[in-house]
Amino acid sequence: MRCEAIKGTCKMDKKLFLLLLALSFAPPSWAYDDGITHPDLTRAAVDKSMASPNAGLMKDLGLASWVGNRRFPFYLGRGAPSYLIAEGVRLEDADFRVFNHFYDPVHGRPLTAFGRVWGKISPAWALEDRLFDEEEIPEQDFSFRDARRSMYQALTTPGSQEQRDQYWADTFLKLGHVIHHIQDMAQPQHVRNDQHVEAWYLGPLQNPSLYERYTKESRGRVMELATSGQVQAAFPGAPELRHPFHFWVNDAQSGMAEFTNRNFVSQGTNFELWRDQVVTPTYPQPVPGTPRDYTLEELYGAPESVPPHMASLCSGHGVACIMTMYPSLGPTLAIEKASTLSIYDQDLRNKGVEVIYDRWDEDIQYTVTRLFALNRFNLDEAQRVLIPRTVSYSAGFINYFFRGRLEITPPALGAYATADHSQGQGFTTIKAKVKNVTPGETMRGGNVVAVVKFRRNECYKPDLSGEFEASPSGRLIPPPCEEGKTYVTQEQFIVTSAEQTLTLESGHTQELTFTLAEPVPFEATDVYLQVVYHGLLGVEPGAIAVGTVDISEPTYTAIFNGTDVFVIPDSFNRGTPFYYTEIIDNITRRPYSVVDRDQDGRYLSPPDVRVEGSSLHLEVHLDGGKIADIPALPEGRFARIALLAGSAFNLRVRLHWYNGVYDYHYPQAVAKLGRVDWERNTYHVSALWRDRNWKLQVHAPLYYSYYLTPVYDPEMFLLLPSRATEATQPIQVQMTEAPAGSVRLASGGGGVYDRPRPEPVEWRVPRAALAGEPGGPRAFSPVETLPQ
Amino acid sequence: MMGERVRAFVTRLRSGIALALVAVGLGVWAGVGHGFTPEGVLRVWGLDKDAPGRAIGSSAGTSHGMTNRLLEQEAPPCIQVRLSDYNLFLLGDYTQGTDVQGKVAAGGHITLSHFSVGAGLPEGDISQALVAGGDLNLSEGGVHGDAWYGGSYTASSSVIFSRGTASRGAPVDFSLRGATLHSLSTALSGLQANGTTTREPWGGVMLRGTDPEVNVFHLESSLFQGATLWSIEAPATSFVVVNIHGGSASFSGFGIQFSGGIDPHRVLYNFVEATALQAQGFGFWGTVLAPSADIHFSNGSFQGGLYARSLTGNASGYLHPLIERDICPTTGPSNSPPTVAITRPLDGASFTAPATIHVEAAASDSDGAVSRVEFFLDGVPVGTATSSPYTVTLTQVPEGTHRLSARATDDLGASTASAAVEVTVVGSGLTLTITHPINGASIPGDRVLVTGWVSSRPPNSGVTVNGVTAAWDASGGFHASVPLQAGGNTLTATLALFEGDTLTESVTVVATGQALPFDVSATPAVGLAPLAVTFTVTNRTAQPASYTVDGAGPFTLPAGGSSVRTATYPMGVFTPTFVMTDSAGASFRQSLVIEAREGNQMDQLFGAIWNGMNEALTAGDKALAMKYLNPRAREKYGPVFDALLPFMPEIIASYSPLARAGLSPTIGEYAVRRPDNGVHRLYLIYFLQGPDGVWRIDEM
Repeated sequence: MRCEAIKGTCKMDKKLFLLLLALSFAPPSWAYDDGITHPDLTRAAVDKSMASPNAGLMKDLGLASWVGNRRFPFYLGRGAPSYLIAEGVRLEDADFRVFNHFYDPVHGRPLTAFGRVWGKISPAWALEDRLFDEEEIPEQDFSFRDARRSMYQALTTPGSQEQRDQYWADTFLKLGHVIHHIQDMAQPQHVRNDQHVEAWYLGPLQNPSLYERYTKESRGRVMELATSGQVQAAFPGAPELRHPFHFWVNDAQSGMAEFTNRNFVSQGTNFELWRDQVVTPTYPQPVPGTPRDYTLEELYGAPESVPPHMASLCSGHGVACIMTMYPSLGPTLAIEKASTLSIYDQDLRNKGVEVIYDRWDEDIQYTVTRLFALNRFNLDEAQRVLIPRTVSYSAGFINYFFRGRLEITPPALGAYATADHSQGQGFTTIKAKVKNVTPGETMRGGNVVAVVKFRRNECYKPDLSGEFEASPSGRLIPPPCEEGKTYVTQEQFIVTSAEQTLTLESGHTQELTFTLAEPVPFEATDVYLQVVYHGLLGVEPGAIAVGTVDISEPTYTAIFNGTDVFVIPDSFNRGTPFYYTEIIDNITRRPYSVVDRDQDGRYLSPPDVRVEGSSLHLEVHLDGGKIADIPALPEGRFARIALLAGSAFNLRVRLHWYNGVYDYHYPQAVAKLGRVDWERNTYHVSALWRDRNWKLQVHAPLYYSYYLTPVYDPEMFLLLPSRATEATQPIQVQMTEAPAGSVRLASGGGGVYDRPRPEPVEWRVPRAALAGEPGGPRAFSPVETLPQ
Repeated sequence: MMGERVRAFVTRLRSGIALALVAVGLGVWAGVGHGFTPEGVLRVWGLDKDAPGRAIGSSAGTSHGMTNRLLEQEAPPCIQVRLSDYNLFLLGDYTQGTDVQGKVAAGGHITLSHFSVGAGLPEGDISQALVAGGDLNLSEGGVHGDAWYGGSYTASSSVIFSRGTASRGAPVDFSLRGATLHSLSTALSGLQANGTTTREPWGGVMLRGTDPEVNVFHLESSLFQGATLWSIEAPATSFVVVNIHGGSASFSGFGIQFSGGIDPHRVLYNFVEATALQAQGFGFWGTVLAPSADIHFSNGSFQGGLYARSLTGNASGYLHPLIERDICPTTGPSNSPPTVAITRPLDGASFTAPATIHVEAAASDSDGAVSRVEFFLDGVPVGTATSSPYTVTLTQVPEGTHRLSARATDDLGASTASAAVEVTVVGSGLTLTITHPINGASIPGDRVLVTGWVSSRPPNSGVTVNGVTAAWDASGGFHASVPLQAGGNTLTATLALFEGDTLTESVTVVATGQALPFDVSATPAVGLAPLAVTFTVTNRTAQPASYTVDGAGPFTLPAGGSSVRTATYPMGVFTPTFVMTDSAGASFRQSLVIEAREGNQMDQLFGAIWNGMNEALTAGDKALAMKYLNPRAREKYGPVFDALLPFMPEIIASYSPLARAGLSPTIGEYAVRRPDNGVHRLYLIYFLQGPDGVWRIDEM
């Protein structure tokens, strides 16, 4: 793949390659195990978040294909969002990124060890937020800020779908990188400056973490805690989580870093007591509570659960073995078995010996008379709280990231866009009502753009012969198409609008008009409209809110001037069309002679029935006003207007005729559909009907004249073909737009023919086509396999 | 960009006038003010920006003569650093290429394929985006600005000029610019170091500068052999010049880290003598000046300018232009250099490998003070001492003859090197051998089973291969499944002894690096015998396949599906080999390492560690006892040992034997019972296996 074509992709691939390489070659590690614990926690978190399959996130983001089948490019293959988030979590430990995985919220410091500072505080590194006076860290490409940037690019970058998919992959991957930090903040050593580096080349300096090892080795129990049905995503529902940094620290002291720091001890920052008084050299909380002795049976739950070697060690002495444990009292939590007396504690106590600690690197000297250690029972207690909480916060962070929502509805006009089909340019302007449906958060002064996403009908022809057709019996007929072309591309294209600023309170609606950078072409199909807001949302700068709506395909409304024919009822009172020139030329013969009222053998109206046609003056209206004016539609010709609408629209046409004004009203006209469902390999599509023997329209009011009202209208697809010059070419229309609230046309009127509209049908792509056999339409089955 | 102009050695004028000497030379200009003060002379080594001198080290003199001497002394020229105009500037050829965001110029031929040049240039600065003094040959790529060529020009139809055009011409005088670059490199190499350089035992190359203006380092390129991290710490406002000496240098397998606020816009790597540079999977943060060097640089990036003789490879260039800076070196009154000599070990001393050598030097300065003494092992910096006694302890010195030397630097920056002493490290009899793969082997795929043996396995030792902990078998053989990257790979087996010493052995292999279309995994791969292992073989191809395990089979593998098999292993190390055959008949081989441990043997191992520590404590040997602990435990229990050492015989006598509580692949959990005022207390002792394969006590 050329870098030029997909520049971002190549860059990311290189960075990814280096991360993957670094991770596979055993960098220093200060982390949960990247093969087991982090992936387990992440899987559990994703399942509880809106990124879970079936939770609808993909649909909300306009990646309509879902049910876990959507894959995005990643390294050598493709991966689902859940996989990419997990990979991001894993890769955050690559290289020397681990130096930035610490945050001591009490002292606001990063990892400080061996007499120096290592890296940045976790939230500064993970978020790259101006909150930390450091918006861009040159060596950091996988931050929250970067994830937001990738998401915006994924939503709005024109060009290839593969490139946007790459940006989506980057988004999920980078989000995973940030979630890694949420998980690390639930490991007490990461928030209490307790270094625990593992690197094979450090030899005796390496300092493995018992907590992390134990978490890895007790995988079954950890997974049970992580996947418990009682664990819910922390967001939404926690009002204190308004900014991404609040997942670390917030006013309610519920941030992961602060919560862990203040409520848990770590191996290197355990309780320190001097003559039963708390020594607080570094961390004032938690404090030890009243100790309690536990028997082995109490600790293991039952006598048979005590490991046999230990059981035999404590048998035959007449006194049950005990362990003395201290509870911890934090500001928001008490942990019953937080810490245990060390093997040397009884000697300090019995000998009256004091131990002097001189922490040169922190310039602290203090004395203790008691000594504590951590063991499996203390670690179990910590995990019982911290594992569910980190899953809850990880899931909440995913929800927070994707929380921005807009609701899109048609504008007052009644259609998102209108265009004169004779001009072939497409739709240049989009209107929509946009509602901020992000609960409780105002969008303030950010930029908003419209994004129209569509596939192409490569068989499209301006005369609409490349559209699906319905036979008179209602059978769907695929369009003829050149070899190698398809009626719906797998590739998705987008057109974006110019940016405009938007301020919108939660629950409020505003109608916006977007000028597109390039027209949405008439050959568009499977069309979606997105509105993307980028800016301050609540208190988060640079947030993104998205609204997605599945809108109609270009829906054609043709207006015929059929006054080149005149309908005369036959003896069965069925209408039969004749060219009026034929009637005039044969005025003396039946059935034409019925129009010769004075029976003088020549045509002169009045007194004869007026049969000749004329140009028509027509106005086309939707709910919100006039959209087009047709001052003179010649006889035998037609005009065609294309609409992008919701599922239905109200069409009104006013005819100014020589003898009055006639209004035609089609309420709830069904818009054209062309929706691809990749999972089921189906294409829901509306067919066009033939009128005057060629495919022209979805809705087609046709104005013609008749003598007396026939019981049965003629079938318009059998109507005599127009003899007008360029009869199959639509005439140019004056597109206008009356302001909303302009005069509405009355319904009713006569002399207008419109046949029943077909309902969209589901077109199942034949297997032969999927297999790529010659003759069938080109396969559009997603060819995506790889990683689970 | 506006240049930052820095003046050095400017003394405050309390009276009198300033004398400005202006020297104009090639790429150099000066504007240095000299002043004097009636009270005396400020001896300054400092760099200041358009401001009076800031004394870093000073001594007051009263001699008017000294003042005069200062006035008479000609200021050294300022070095004008102007390397912000090109992202890549070469005096010779540029071949292969990939993305370079900024401007590219090469005096020779430029041959690029699958490339992008100038995409990061602003709209108004696209002239001379790509300049070839010779031929310009392009295929599959994009040029985002004007291109020039002096020779011929070819471009495939897939080359896109998004803006600008290609023209024949010679807008760059490469010979003149080449002379400027050489001159600049030479001038920078003459700057006196004011930062410290340390090579950590774990592979860190640590550069630390505190000067807020300019920090200068000198280091040998050999310093990067086996490096694991290159750290540069300097203030955000400063400018860093790293002079790297040596005819060649290689950068791979480690990264650069900045701290203290410095960023790539302010760091210049000056390769003074280098004629060949090799970089692979590496990122230069800052600008590289190597005017004599032919560079091979692949799978990496330069986050700044790269000014060299030639470049081959697909390294990417990113726009982090070096700020423009004038560095005006100081001169001062005459200064006697310090004296220095190695006093320990004596010349000709002998040690046993892997050796720990305590080095001591005597240093003095007749007209000032010694500010630091740097120590060198075979020319490579190994430590710095800033106060007397000037010592450094070298660990794990390998077998062979080595030269130890020292260099003292006084408070005015003058330095003197000591005479070298030669020491010999003789072998211990312990040998480490890699038996598979053989040196130079070609490996298909991205993983290899490495096996070898240790002549006599020391107790509680570990072997890692490229960081992967190896499994030991009963005969002292070790086995590890090691990932490989495409191309050349060095496989280094490291035997770690629990005392901290190590022994290494390396072979080099060439791998395709291509991932197999099959995944094979074992769960668990380590555990207590009998060990029930579940193997999962996943077929990532779209066609059915089959596989065998150690010749058994074949078993079918559905397209895109998995096959699961189980096996139970007795105690020992096993390397089951899976051979997958795809639908086209191609075979793919992968071996796993399964280690089934025996509980009683683990009990003995942990018992030996526990008893070893307790015996040392009983004997009052705290230092030995500490070696059984990992660093955190040392920090915690060291002061406890100090306090309780006199009571240790009595304490340890009260211990019950160790009783196993739980065993997992990397944690040993054991219990000890002790009586305490009528109750029996139980304590849990934790042993953790470190990444070096050695077990140590972590908590108790």
